Amino acid sequence: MAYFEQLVLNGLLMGAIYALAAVAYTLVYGVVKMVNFAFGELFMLGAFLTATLMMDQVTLFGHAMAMPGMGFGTAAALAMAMVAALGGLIDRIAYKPLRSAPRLAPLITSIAVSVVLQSLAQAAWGPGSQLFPGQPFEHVPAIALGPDLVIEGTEWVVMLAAVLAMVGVHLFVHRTVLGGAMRAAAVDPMAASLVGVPVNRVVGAAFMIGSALAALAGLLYAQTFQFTSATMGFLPGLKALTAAVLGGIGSVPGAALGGLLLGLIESLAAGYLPEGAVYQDVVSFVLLILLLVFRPQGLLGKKEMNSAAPGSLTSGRGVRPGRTMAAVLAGIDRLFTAAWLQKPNAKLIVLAAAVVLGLAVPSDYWLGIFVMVLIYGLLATGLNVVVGFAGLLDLGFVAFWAIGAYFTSILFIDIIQQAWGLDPSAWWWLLYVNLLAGGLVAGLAAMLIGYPTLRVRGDYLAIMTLGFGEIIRIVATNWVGFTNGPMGLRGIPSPQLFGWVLDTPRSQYFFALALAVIIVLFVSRLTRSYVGRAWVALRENEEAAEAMGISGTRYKLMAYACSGFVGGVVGVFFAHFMRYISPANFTLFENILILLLVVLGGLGTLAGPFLGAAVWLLFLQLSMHIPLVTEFPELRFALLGILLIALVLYRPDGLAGKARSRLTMG
Amino acid sequence: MNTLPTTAMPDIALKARGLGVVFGGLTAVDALDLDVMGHSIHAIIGPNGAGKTTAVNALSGFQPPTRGQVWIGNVTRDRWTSHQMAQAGLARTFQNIRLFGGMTVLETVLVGAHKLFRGSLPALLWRCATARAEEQRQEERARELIRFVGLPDATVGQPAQSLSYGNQRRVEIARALMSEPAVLVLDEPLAGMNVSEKAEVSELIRVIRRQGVAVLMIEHDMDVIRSLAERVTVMHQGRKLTEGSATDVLSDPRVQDAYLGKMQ
Repeated sequence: MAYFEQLVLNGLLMGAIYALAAVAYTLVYGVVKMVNFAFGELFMLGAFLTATLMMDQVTLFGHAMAMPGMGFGTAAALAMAMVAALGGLIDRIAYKPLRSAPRLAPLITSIAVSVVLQSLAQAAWGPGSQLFPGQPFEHVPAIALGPDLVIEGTEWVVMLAAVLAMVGVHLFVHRTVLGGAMRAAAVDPMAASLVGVPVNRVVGAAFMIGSALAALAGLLYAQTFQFTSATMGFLPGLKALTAAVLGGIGSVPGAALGGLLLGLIESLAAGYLPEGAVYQDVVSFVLLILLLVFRPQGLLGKKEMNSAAPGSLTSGRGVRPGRTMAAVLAGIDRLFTAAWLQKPNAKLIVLAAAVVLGLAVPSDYWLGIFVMVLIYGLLATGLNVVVGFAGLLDLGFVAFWAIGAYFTSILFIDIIQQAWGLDPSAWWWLLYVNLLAGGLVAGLAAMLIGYPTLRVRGDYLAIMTLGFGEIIRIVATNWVGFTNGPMGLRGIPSPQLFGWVLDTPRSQYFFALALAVIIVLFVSRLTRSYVGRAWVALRENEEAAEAMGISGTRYKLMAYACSGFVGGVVGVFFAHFMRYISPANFTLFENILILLLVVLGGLGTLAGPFLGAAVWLLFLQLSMHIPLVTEFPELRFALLGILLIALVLYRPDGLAGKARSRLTMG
Repeated sequence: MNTLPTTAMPDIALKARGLGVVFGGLTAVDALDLDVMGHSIHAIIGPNGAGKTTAVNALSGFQPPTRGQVWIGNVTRDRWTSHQMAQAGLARTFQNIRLFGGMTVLETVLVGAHKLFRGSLPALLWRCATARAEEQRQEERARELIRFVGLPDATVGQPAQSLSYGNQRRVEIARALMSEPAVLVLDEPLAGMNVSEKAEVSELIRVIRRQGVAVLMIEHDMDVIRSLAERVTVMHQGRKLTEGSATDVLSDPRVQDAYLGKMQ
């Protein structure tokens, strides 16, 4: 009997932390109507800073440093203040200039901020998990509720702290002048500023308070579970969002209720469902997806939340650059709008250069890098179809890459090799069938997943696709009999062509190049036809596009299918190129990286994805000679994030944006 | 102009019966019957808040009507979506211009031809001769229409959103005509235009009607209504107040009361 009560108690404990984080989420969302993807990182920083301040000595960026060794309370308060200041700073730099920009722009900067903070935290504190220094509430007396049921001191202190913080926020929002200004700015920023509310400062304040609360949730979480790590914020961040949506985003009591409910649901699911503990996170994601589709206003929210902001990233004005920045941008433009690039045979020249490169480069190492450039370029091309052309921010794209890779691997390893006991390399031709079949399976999966997302837009779409992607990854990780789980599948045969084994980097480079030519041709023919125009029209103004006879449902599904198809084809090749795949290849971080590469190169262009991939992978190599980077390779991701923020602010078109291709066949 | 249909239209191009739109407790449009005849210019007028735009939105599939039925020619559905309306032969422009960011004028106008494209996916991927020919044919039509609505040739490759306000309205008209519509719905096509632009676009509307398209327009300028509209429906407080020729309607004291009453 105590089992149930114990589950409820665990649920309430997690629920209290989720609720607190959800309140922080909702406070910011309510005012700026924007999902802050960097939220989980603020949560993580709250935990790390508290832990660091509590220690006597700490190793930061590889250097031992003396620390004050504060008590938990002081350290927590200081950490919250620091994270609040950071939150204000982030708003100032990365979000404030984009208040009137299309919805996609601040979403992408918030993803970039998240990457920057996470990479910096990894560089500073190291990539692994660390023990939380001390158990501040270990001497607090436990409360016995029954013979078998005890609430530990730590547990009830956490719950009490969360409840007090939430009551405080509620009183603040409803009883203070600043809280009133926030509510006014939430309802109508324009009207609020007309009656004298300094909207930008109010939004900044909301960001600071929200960040402090996120830090509080993070440090309570860390001291409850006695660890800190640079990636600890990701899942709780998503849970907080789920809880906020469950309660009705924008509503403080709703968020509190949603958090408690989510904690309970998760705890009971983990306790009672078969393999519940493994699929506990899937339960949350499924809940999130169902909510977004069927009841986006949640339990206590208002119906009109998440109204769509029309327009794409590319039509945004950006920020007016300073003189140096303007000169840099003009230089980039000159490079990509050079006369020879405008000629119709420019593509052939680029292709010829790629062939020469493949023949002339002596180093197998560099050829291997070039294959990766092509693979990432192709993945970015696939993602570009949905994000760049159709304007649907898809954070679950890696799933289709994974489906293609697993499709061919399971066929070759699980079925041909293990079930039938045959030599997979005798079946080399099957690879060519699989390139098509894996693509089609992934395309079909993309349509199935895309269908429920058709009703949601903007940031909700991003979250929903992210949820789908995570579900697929968790399933792949845990369905051991089928995918071999986290150990992955080994011994996938290299590509072959009539007995000629393509296992050298040079042959694989040409294989990948041929694949790239076919896929780019495929994508360019679609985008430069009425289909591509329909995608762009839907992206730019869905209502006007519908009025021209374009069925949004049909063309969005088509974009998902094409993008999934490309992802699947690349997945099949990737599996045979790497010869080993595991769920670790297909993480959300990869998806974010691919997205950033598309934005870097230029959303909605054909060359952009490859350009982004080439710039990034070459930078990854060359930067290994920079002393600081050699020591902290994570810093490269921080640099990418910073570059992306600058790009979205100053040049939302991306590097090759000015060389945008025509949408007519010509 | 050989690109616009010159065949005779059915007698009634657009028909509504008992059309009603209710927002929460507010009845924006109430029991509206409307017959837009083929080969005619039909205007809806009325004071601000009379429900004109809501009525037009309900007629073009933008705002699902709470009650009533709409026919395009003799085709009807219980629930129209706007792309079904477009497929059935209705094209419209918007009071607040809705162009596609980043697209050139030519690309924007080509979007209007969307429903005419027949090229299948394999045909596009192989880029068959038929797909190319289709694209080329539509591109020529688009260029012709861009000229037809009075845009200089130099604008063809310019971003549509970089044009002047008046020219953006012309792009919208060209885009709508691109779909070879039987009914063209214009929501305040002359708003924000100067006198000479108004004269030019009025003439354009007249030519469009002469080529066999039924035009339904919302307009505030009474001089334009007098010179253009063959039939005028006056709306007031969501209902049809009266209907008839421009001269009859504009001299109707009830119509004058509706406008003056608003001004008090």
